[in-house]
Amino acid sequence: MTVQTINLSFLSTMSADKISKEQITKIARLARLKIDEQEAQDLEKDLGEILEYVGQLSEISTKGVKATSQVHSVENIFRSDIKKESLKTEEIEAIAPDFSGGGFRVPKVI
Amino acid sequence: MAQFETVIGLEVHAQLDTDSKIFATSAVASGDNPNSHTDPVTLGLPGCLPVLNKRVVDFAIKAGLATNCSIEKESVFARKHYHYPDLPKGYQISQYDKPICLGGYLDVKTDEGVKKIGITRIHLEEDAGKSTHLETEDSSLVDLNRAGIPLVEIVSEPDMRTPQEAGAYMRQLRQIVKYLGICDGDMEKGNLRCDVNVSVRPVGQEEFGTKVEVKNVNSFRFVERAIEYEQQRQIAQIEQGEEIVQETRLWDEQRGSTKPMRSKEFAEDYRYFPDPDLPPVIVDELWVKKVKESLPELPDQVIARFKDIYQLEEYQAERLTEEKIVANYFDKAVSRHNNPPVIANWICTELFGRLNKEGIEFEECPVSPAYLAELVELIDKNVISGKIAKTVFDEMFQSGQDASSIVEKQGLKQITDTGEIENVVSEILAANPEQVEELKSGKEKVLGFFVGQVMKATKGKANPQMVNELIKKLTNG
Amino acid sequence: MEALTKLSAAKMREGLVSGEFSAVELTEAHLNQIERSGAELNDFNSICNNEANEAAKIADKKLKEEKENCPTLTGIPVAVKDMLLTKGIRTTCSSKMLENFIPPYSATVVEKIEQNGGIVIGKTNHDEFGMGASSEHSIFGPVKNPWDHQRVPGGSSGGSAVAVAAGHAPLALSTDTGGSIRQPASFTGVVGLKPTYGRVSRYGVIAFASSLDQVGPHARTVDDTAILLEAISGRDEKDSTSIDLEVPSYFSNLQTAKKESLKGLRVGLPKEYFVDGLEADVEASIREAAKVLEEEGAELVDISLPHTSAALPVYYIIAPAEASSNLARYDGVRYGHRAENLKSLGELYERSRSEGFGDEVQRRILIGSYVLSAGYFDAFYNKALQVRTLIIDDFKSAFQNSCDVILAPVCPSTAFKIGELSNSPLKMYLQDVLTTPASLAGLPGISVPYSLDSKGLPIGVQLLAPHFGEEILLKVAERIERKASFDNTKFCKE
Repeated sequence: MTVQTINLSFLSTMSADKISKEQITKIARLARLKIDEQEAQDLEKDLGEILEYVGQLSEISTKGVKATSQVHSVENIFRSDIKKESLKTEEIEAIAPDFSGGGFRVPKVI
Repeated sequence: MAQFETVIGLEVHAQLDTDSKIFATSAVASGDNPNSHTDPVTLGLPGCLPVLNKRVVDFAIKAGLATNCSIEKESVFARKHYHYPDLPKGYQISQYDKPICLGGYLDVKTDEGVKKIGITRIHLEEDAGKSTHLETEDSSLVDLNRAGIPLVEIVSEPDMRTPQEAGAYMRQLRQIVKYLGICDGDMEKGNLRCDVNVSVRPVGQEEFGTKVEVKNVNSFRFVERAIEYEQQRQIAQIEQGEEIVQETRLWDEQRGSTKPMRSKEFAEDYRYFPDPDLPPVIVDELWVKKVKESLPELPDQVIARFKDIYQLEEYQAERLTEEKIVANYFDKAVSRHNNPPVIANWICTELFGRLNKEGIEFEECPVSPAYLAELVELIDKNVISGKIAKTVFDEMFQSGQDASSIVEKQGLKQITDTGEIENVVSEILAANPEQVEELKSGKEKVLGFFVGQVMKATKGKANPQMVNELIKKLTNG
Repeated sequence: MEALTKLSAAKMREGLVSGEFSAVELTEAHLNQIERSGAELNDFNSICNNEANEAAKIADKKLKEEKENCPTLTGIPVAVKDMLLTKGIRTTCSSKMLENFIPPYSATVVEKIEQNGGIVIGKTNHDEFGMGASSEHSIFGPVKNPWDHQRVPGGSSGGSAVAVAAGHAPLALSTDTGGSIRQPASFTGVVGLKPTYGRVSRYGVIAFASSLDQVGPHARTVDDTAILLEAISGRDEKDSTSIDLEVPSYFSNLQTAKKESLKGLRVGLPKEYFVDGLEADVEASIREAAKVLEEEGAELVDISLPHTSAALPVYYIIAPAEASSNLARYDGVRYGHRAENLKSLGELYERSRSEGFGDEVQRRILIGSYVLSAGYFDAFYNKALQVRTLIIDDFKSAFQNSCDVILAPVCPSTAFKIGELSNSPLKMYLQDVLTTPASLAGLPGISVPYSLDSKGLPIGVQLLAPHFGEEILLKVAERIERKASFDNTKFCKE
């Protein structure tokens, strides 16, 4: 990739065949999103474009470069083992969509 | 037909005995109302951030040192993603490629001798909550009291070959975490849990067979039974020409079998990545040194001490150290009265027997170590006989009173006055002339009869040795 | 007397302390101004009429008793982005997912505002979960730019920038992940500062991308920006990534700095920020601002940040990856939207999430899940983390060797039309091209209004400094502000 300029013109020349509808369905399942046929179709184009764009990074050499997941080199941030009060049942019930007998009710867990 | 060998590895989860959760301030407690130990972080509310409980790191270092692991300088928390109602954030904070401990082992005592079982790693993570199925309706209730309780996961190498070895490893690990005081080891409550990886391969084959993970194995017995079941199932399957599928199965304790847990077509993809909310943990040598100095005596060390200093037999030392509380009891008793072998005997026979019979946990033992020591002291000082001591012990167990008071109150003191015993012996001899003759003619058996009679007459209080001597003296004379 | 809603927070403070006007009057004036233009601009999701009036009464009592000893924000209205949790006040994140969510706790920054006597006047609109550069992606509809109601105010913190530009509040709390404070500030002619990562607590801030998110102020003046920054900065034991570093007296230090010359200050102009696609008016404005600094004694230095154009792709891997993880918690189990007539657990998740999240949010969750999934992790996510290091190193070397601050455009263009970029997510992403590098490096950045383009739309200047260099940013930004004499109060009173 040309790292010298912000090139906005690649959009027109891009082919969006990198991610398939099947992959999108699989990822949607992992992410627990319901995607119908039409949505998968639209996403194929949009995600294809985006992934192709971000995929340009492969052209930058990063041999031996360390990965940064946090910008500050901070370490060992702890709290003492001191317990504090729990949220009250009423406070939890107030935000819960379905609360029963002190628990969050959900469809049967297998 | 080929001979098969079973290959077993264990992943043991131990809940750490801290006051508050690993990343949150709510209490670590069980058995209370659902969701009564929660806070915004535990519930995974929007905007919440984790902050690591330092004590948890100390505990993990302890676990690592006790299992001969190296304590890693840098460890990193990662997010493991999956959706389940008892997992509040949609990910579990765990350690992935940078765990806190690596490469240890345990010398496990098996029937075939000591076997070295490798420990791949120990890492820290948070526990999930619990869902309870409601029978009356098609729904479940989620309780997050357990969510966020700190866990260490101790992963073994696939070094075990029999269910018994796995059981022995598990027992030893439980003993260690209990000695360390980092986990109560209660498997029934799920505070110590075990996932078992089992595969089989023809004897002589180098590479491992396809492994199956069995979850929900919550007692030593089940660890062994689940492995037994799996090895049979897998061997049968191979012999029928079928392939073993790599899968996760669930131990069904009612049926004594395992069943597939998840649908096979849905492969998990945990999408691990370093948690940006948690800076890395750096453990330097000084920290390790401090924890090392604070380590309690571990079972092997206690066994060695009991053998060396107290001159106990191996089997007795082992029995006394199975539970830390027993070893402590023994130590306390011995410090009160220095007769280790006899005290050990009393604990292993009378005390264990009685607790067992009454179904009482050692924690609730009604006889204090000092009282037991005193009882042995009374025997050693000839205040009471060994036989009377058992009566006294029974009374101590019932009433919780000390030995001296019981002996005093019930007049159980041994009669050691020669004159007094001689009078009783003379009376008995006089009343049984036939037996006296028999004894004189060399029938040694009759001696027992006389001793019995004397003891009966003195309600067991006469010193049996003195009785013996006096009978001999008076019949010879 | 000048309209109360046009005053700076610093002036409000003077008036409140001297008794020229009361907190109740001040609050009233702002609520009235919201009444006048709020519905049209759509900058608020919730307006805290009652709570604000009550708080104002308490503030007046305090002002009467303690006068200048009152905390700095006593009686001053503050608008709060609806991504920041406010206990007892609905916090929606502009999402159907949290449409009815009333949090049981407040964000640390909100607590700090309250401890400082500030009055939370309302919750501002923004792109759902902070994902967008236009404030169009909200269940409450798009926010409009006061300078041209056909145009967007930028995003994601568009509502906060507009609230300040429209005299609905002198101060607003916003969040910046890849430019969400700076770009809206530029589009609406106000000041916006993204502090150094770790300067301000993130506790109680609805997470978008944890390694990038940072709370910062929107205000009409640099002075006011300093006041609000000072109130919210500092280590928070509830946020492990907040840094334990003393908070300077930003406001009073700035007053001293105002009198100093800029002699010796080296201002870096990164060539990679002046490129194709940068509107001529924008470039001219930035160059002019640079000249102004030069006239004030600063030295202009041409610098190079070679990995600048890699920042956007890196950002659009890291931010969605973290977002896909942070948004996994919205499952309809414990809080938030839950779909109806559920037959299974699977339905609970999938329908609740698909109904609750808007299209853009779902798109980013999918991208994020994809780049983290087995087989793609190394090519995308880990690669992005490595290139992130290179971007950080570019800045490090520039600040070590060449300059003290960097001056650059905020955005390639001025405010665009509502709907203009809606058909291409990627074109929308390109809005962030000049703001994401500093975000990835965790650097502080400020956008200060400088001039108008030929369409009469505001152009902001972006300044960047090394970690925890907020003071120098404020100093230089104030100098630009002073020389630009940009009037950003014209919509504050209608």
